[in-house]
Amino acid sequence: MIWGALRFPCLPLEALEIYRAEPRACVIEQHHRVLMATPAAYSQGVCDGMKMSTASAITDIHPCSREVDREQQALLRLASWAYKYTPYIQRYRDNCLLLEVSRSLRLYGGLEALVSRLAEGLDQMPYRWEIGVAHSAAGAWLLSFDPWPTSDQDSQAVFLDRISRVPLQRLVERQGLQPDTEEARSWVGLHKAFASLQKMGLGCLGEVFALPTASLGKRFGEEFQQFVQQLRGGAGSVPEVFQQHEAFCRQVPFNWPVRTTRLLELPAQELLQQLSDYLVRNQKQCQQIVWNLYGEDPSEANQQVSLVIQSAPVCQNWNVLFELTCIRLESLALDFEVMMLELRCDTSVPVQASSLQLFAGAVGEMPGQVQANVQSLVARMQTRFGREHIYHLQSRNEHLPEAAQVLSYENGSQAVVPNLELPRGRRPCWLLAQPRPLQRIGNRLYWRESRQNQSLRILDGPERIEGYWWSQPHTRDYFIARREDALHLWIYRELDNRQRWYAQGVFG
Amino acid sequence: MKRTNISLKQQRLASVLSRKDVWTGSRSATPVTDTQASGWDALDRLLLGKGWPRSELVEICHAGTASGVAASSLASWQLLLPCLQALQQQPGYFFLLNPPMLPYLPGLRQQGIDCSRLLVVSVDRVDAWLASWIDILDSGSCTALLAWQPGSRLRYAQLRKMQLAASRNSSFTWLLRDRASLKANTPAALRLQVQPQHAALQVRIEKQRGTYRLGRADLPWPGYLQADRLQRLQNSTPAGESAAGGLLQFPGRRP
Repeated sequence: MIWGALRFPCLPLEALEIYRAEPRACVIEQHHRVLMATPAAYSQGVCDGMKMSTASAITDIHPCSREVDREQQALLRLASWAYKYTPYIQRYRDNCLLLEVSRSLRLYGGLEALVSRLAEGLDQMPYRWEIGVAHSAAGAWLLSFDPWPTSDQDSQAVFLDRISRVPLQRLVERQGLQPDTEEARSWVGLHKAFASLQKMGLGCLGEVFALPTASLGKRFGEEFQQFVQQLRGGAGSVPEVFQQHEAFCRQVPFNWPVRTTRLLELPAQELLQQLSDYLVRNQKQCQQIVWNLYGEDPSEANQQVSLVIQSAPVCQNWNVLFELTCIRLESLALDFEVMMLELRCDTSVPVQASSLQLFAGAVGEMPGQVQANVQSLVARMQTRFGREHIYHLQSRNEHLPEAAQVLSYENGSQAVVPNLELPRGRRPCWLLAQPRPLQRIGNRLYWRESRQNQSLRILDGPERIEGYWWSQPHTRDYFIARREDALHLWIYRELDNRQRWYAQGVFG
Repeated sequence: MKRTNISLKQQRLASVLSRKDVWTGSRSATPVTDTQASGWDALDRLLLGKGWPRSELVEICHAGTASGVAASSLASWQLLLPCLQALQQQPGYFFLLNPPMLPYLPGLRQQGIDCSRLLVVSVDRVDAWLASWIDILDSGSCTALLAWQPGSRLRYAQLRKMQLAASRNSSFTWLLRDRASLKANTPAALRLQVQPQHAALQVRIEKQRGTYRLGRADLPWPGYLQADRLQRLQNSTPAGESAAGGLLQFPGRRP
């Protein structure tokens, strides 16, 4: 196994979007002490571990509380990015990702090429980073503090030699771990053990490796013994497969207030590209995204707006989502100044790739392009007019005519119409939304509209249709009738106590 | 020099006359060839190209008003049904824009219409309706579009946009309008008036681009809608349950 450790030493600052070039003296506070500070603060005498009161006395600092959740989110985003290089990714300490890359070496042309690719990608991000490569996870992490140039010829012996040269002082230093965690408590024990070894006169890890392991275990405990074995690569743990975080959420904060929706299109485009990258990388597709527009004070209800965009399944063709977003933004009247744009995609499913036919399909078969076009069309129209304005029909196995179909507003692939048995009697192609009562005068039936009566003449029938006998029984006799203006109707008589007549359909 | 100018002008004139949308009187500039048989021989004989023209706006005006229950517009359904059945062989979707009623799936299936390829769009506003017309045709997925005019009347400029959208795509398009629309001009390639009669559906050609020839065709109702079934019904029904004189006698409750 070959492990690469990506360590982000300034993550507590960078998670709060405080970067290296920050001119203010910002200080990250943890338990009333300085955890980390910007170069401006260090240059004025602030140092790690200093009491906040002391730091405030030295200079005019800008204190910020550590936000572990945001650090974790940043690490998750980095892990998602690194997923394209290897699926074996695990978090280590508070600010490190471990990548097991031995299975990716052939694909990327060797260790040197892979590391340089990782470095290129990391340079595009706003985070400070260090990389270490070794044959063990803990060893890679340790070597990230004193990076060595990577070569394709590096072997386990070479890595072990490098680890052996690491001074014990490196393991005695504070690691800035989040307190009150299992990891922090375990590190306290290791820290004490290495400090004791240093006091005994040992200078580097190689000297520790030279000592009998069993004796070290007896003297400093099982945990220490295991850590030393991990460093040497003796007890190689099985690499974990990175489980991609289900929800996609990215924000673009604006440095200036945005008043017109037109200006949101460019950042929206960038966010959709990121979403598409995420979906492609994870072989997923989504059907719904949510845009959140936040004002200066998002806690107030009138300072945020959510736009839900639904479409046919999208994986890499993010242009569809962009088009739908633009349609929604066109009709949006902003009554506050937008300070941040957020894109969320909470549910995504594995992509359903379909094979294209090499030869032309059968007559009447739907080409894939036509299906894609219609899905895009329906999504556009549903976004513009509302979901309820575009539908297709789905049949149900019911006797009563009004229950024999449902309107489906789903924009998926070609609608599936169950191949139910066709009714024996004639059915009209058009159905009234509600059965229309007919007027009976003597032995005649009339269609009454705008104070005019049109008499009906029965052409065919009856056909008995019954349904729901177990709950609210309906028994009807259906007839085909012709109106005076030669319109052919489907009418029925309800066979209950009232014996009322209704028109329900139109043949044409 | 003068001769060159004349030939240049003739070339330009020829290019203008070769356009499909230039009216050249009784002489059809471009023969109508891309058509689909209507399924009614009597009607096909009257139509240039012996069928419904592809990529053209076809207007069908029916009796009744634009407002209220527009059930009478559905009389045209029987006119279009044979063509829609034939178009099932072609890939693509069928769109119903603003139909006055709900399409009924069992009935459509009985007529051989594949409902998995049928989409219904229901919009009221004229601008949304027009945008839908254009969007549907430009989507590249439409085989046939059957549209009922929105509540308010369509202006000539709007009809022109519809005709242009139809002409740049290869779909069959029908616009169903009320009879009052006959008074206004139209850029449609074909305009028909439909009048349901008891014996048949009467279809009159009001305008046909490329010819002055108009005409009338009487299309008989399908067998299950013909009045002679009534006679059979009377003969087969027990006494007391018959429909006397074409008027209703209520059939008794069956055991």
